[in-house]
Amino acid sequence: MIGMAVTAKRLNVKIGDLVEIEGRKYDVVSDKHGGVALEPAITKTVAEIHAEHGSRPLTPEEFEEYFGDLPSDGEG
Amino acid sequence: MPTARGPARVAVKIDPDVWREKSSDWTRDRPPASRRSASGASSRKRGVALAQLQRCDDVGEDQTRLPGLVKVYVPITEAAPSERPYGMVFSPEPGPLLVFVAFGERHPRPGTRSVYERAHKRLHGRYPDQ
Repeated sequence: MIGMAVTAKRLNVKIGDLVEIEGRKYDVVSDKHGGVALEPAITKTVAEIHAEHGSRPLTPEEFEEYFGDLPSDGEG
Repeated sequence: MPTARGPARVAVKIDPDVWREKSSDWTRDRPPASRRSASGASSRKRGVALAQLQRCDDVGEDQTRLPGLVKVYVPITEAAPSERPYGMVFSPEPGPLLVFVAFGERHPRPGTRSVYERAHKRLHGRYPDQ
């Protein structure tokens, strides 16, 4: 069997950084086991999405009016 | 009941930039692309039935904080929750209208963020453990 020589590219990134690989953006996040993982980046917040559309999220009172009776499952 | 105060379906608005950032295009055990696209396209066109919606938890067991958000299991069918492994999370705005926030696995394998964690980041700007 022939061994394969692999040279690792050293990345100077830390958790919380945004990186781009082959045109796609990724967030550098904890893998919760002492390492890191790449997650597809989230670059726009809820507030920014509403603002771009010229709107806003419901107030807590409005939310209760429309959706207060909906069930929840406890998973998130 | 909510249906007594409003329509049986709630319209959905999906920002194409936000849709492109959904996680499940990158996951290994994903449903066929046609089914994923159909869920997004169908939701955009027909809205979501109130009967399919659930409130997200103000504080979840995974430390996500999603007050004011709602969700549906995907595929959006009458099947048992265990047969619908994905979720879509929305932020309602006046109308009401559901604004797409996140799509992903409800219970991903270790090392991958759930749809709830992704929604948390979109709401708060950081993951719950950051």
